[in-house]
Amino acid sequence: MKFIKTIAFASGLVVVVAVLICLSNEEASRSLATHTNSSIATFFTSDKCSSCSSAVELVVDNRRDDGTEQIYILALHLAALFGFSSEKTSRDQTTPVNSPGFAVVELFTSEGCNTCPPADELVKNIQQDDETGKIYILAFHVDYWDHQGWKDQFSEKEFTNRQTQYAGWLKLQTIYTPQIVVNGTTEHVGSDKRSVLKAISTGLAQQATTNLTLDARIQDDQIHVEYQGVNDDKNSELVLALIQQKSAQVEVKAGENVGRSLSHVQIVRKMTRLPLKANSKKIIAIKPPRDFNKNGWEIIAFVQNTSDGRITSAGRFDFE
Amino acid sequence: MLPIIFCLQGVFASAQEQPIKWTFEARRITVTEATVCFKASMGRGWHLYSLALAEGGPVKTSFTFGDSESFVLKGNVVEPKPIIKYDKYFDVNVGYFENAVVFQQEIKLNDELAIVNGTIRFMMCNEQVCLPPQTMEFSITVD
Repeated sequence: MKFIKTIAFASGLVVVVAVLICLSNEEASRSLATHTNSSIATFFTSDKCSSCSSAVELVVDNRRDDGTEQIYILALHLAALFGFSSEKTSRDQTTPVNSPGFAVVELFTSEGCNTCPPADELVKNIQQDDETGKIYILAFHVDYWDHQGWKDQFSEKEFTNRQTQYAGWLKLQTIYTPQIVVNGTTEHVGSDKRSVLKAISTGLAQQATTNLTLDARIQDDQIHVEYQGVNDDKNSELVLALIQQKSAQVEVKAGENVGRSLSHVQIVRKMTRLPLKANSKKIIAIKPPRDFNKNGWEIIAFVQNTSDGRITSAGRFDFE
Repeated sequence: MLPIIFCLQGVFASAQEQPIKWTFEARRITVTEATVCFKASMGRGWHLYSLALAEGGPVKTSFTFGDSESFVLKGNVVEPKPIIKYDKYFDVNVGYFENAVVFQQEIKLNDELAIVNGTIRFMMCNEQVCLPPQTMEFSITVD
């Protein structure tokens, strides 16, 4: 997360400098000064940023004409969009920051793959550090590393098929592990922290076109999911994933004191795809796996273009 | 499953070369004996695994030969001495090759002309990624 903050803050400063260059003439400065003062304290506790999108909202403190004060205010405003926190702000640190966009992060991994642990670790850290609530992580365990002596308990052929579908959409000539796809548009070596974080930042900064919301309730042995905020679109489908947020597994090998603990996050346990048809009921019933538990599971859903794999909106429902 | 087309330029920034290129050759030793050679040339950083691997690790390289009346196999496929490295993830010693390796199979010929068909199953890894196990067909003429 520190990387995202650094990149965001640096970008914020670049925009600030550009804006101030444009406002360098006296007339522009005078027009700024006529804005009603929005005190610094109010500014930082306000959630108005969510409607700002990429526009820079200038706040002028009319008690001071000091240009450097303006730079500081603007930089913190933009940085606040990306979750950067400063000791100067009175904003509640635990409130999710309003990012205009989102990042759907799909990791293709396997317990039978010895190059995968760094990627598993990376998504675990991204998940832990996320303050935006707009990063949606899905770990798909592929099945092609299952062979005699090693079977990944979370692997499914369906997940290998999904990875193969991305190879088609993204015009790759092979699949590999670990691989991360962000927002259905860019793919990365799963352990390439810099590249992955950059793609996430880009996704968070872009304005989402729709606001997908989910509601779910458990009835008998089924989960009924209702979704809203999605336009009918024959070129897209809704992808719904039932996610186990954490797991721990101890693998004990031959030899008394030899043991290894493998733990995973955001494991996709079930995936469903729905066409987005006009007049269709926006509700679906899912039968969860036997070990489903309200604690520690969630549903992540997103709208995906079926011809190129682009993801245009995302949402989640946490059972807790 | 997508077949691997061995041109991965642009897919991986760090591996500018193809992971592997296979070439085949048959060398007649006597009238009735020949050696079939399978040469793997690997891109920088890529590993191909040994014919003999401990269980619970990567997928070993293996050869399967089709039946033919024109020849019989003499012994098993042989390989040079692999690099042995302890893999801490799998907790086993793993034998592998880099750069290039030649696997050889002796055959005894029953005819003047023999065609040796079969498949090679193998997987490849570098420091960052592993490619899925692949099965590749071969057909080598011995004349």
